[in-house]
Amino acid sequence: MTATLEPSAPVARPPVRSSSRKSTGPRGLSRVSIIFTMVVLGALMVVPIYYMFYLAFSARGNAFAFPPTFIPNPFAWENVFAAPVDGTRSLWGYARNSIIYATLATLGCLLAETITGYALARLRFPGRGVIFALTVAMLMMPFVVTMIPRFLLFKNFGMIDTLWPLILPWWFGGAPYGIFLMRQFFLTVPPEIDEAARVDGAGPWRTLWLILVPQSVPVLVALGMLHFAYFWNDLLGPIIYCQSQGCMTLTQGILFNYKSNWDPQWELFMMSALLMTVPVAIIFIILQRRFKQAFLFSGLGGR
Amino acid sequence: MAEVKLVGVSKVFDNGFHAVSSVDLTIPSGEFVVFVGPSGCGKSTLLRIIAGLEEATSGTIEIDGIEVNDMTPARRNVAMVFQNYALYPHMTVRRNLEFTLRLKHVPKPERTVMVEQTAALLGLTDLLERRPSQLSGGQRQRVAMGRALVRDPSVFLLDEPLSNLDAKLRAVMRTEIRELQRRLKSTMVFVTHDQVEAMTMADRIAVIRGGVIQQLGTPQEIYDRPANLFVADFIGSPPINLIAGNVFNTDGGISVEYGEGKSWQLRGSGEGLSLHTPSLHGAPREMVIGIRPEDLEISHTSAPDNSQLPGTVVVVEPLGGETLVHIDIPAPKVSTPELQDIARDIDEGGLEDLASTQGCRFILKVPSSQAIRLGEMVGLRPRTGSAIHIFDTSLPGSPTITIQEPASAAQVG
Repeated sequence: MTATLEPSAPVARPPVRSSSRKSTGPRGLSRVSIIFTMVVLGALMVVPIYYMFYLAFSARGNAFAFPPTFIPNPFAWENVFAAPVDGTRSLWGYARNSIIYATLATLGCLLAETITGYALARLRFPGRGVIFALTVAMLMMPFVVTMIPRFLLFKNFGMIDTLWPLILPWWFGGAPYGIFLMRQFFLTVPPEIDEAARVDGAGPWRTLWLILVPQSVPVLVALGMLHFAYFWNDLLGPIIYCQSQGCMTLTQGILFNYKSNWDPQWELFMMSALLMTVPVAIIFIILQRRFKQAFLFSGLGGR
Repeated sequence: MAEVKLVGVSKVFDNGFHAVSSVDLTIPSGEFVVFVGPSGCGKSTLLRIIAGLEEATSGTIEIDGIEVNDMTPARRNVAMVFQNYALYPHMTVRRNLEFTLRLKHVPKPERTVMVEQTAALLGLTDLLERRPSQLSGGQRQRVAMGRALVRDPSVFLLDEPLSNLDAKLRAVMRTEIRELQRRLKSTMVFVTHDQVEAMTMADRIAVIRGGVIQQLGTPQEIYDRPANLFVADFIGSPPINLIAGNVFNTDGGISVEYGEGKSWQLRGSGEGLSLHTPSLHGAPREMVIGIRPEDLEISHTSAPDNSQLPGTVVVVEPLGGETLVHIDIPAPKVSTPELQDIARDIDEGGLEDLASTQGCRFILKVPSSQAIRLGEMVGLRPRTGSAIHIFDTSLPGSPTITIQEPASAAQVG
């Protein structure tokens, strides 16, 4: 119909298909370059993991065999069973410490971040902006900068060689990015919800716990995952504070068990590391969807 | 059921914005008061001050004779319904309703009874186990009402509770809320920017502009005797017809000089108007004349004198029972700050919007039996018994004179 009214219309109409491809450029080249980039990036991610598997299933002394094979030969299944128990001390003892450390520190973080995030998002008090700016600035402060003063502090408390120096700091403020994430989430909740709660008779504390926290479960789960994975994998912290085997966490224990300077047992070392990632990986896979949801909420993920 | 009394209530925000300026208002127990005004006029702030969600900068708020300035919203025993309902999304309707009772430590059996009574009252019984996300807009609105009702508050505060509903549902909820209020005999304060809502629901309306109550009165009073140009233009749909010019007394009426050599002598269709307008004495002054759409009539025959205002019919809108006729008048459009305020705050009727693009345009309500042709030149004159409002724009404040023609032509004699 357009054509009959205006004969030139079909000519003038912009080619729809080309406009939809505009962002990816000319067809053939972009396709190839995208696939190539993906393959390279994918390989970069996969290679270390592959190498971990490779080493983990290599037989004793075979880790650096030449010429290398794609699959370890012989394939040492027995490492799976040997790694947890073969070292100076069984991994289970270390795992207990890791669980205590990661769980308590995660809980502390979530609690502190929820409260702080709420205060920064909702409560009006002088200096709120400054405090928030400082919190964000803390993101730029590496752990190693505060490492020594912190050590001295806990030494004065007599807490060296216990798990407390690893756990306690997180109960007082959590991590800056957690505070930021929680604040962003609370900002997405309409303030009228808080006001309705106020009219209903809830103060800020009850509003937080009865109204806002139940709504932020996805965010808390995601944040908890991030924290847990961080604490689970933490090595520097335990190395600073833990000296005896009774205090050591998994990361430290694995190192202690298998990576002696003169005779490192690479295959058991790597197998232990592999086994160690299993619980975190399982939790991550189960909670994956919530994780994505949370980042969409916070505005940190892309739209 | 309680009286609400505001004395000299003002609110200045941290950024220096005067949201509410020394408002004095007494709302007797059981009255339904509507705060109406364009967006940003301070009506919601005033409501939030009564609720205790906002602190008054000065003045006192009394509920039931007790000063509540320093009380929390819960202790004031007010209930509020929010524009976006603000239901707790993670709770079922039942939990939403009983939340406030739980906080008050009402024992469970009592709580259940109260929730179920409220649910029954609002037709929510079947929805009690659902979550807000599973409800329609109207149902959510009802839950929000229920949450307010369940605690039996002394004052209900409703902040534009109907503005998220579609037009049909809005009309239904309007009558529902009004009926509920009559049944419960509760004091309700209702905020809206929709003057139709205000007119249809209120016992009394407070028209607010710039944080100041412009006029407080029954809907009829406000319609019939608007205190100033703002109130006159804001209340009424279609809006009041306005024409500006030098106004002076003439024999048996008033005249308005609305252009070079153009004047309109206002008389009824009977003999003329009888005016009691002391302020009109003296030299002609620039004023605005306002006449409601139903207070003018169309004459198809031209009169020799200037008793008719000439105009061209540009739009005819038959509504069935009556017809709206838009007539372009060869006069400049009346534009004052208060009218611009209203034009900016176009309601869903869009009439102000349309008018804002035109010159001086009158809208008349005429019986549908009257034949009006598009493009026809017509003459306008006030009906007998109609009210003519004169607004003096040269004086600040509200120097308004409402001139009422005697109700019957016989009196005019």
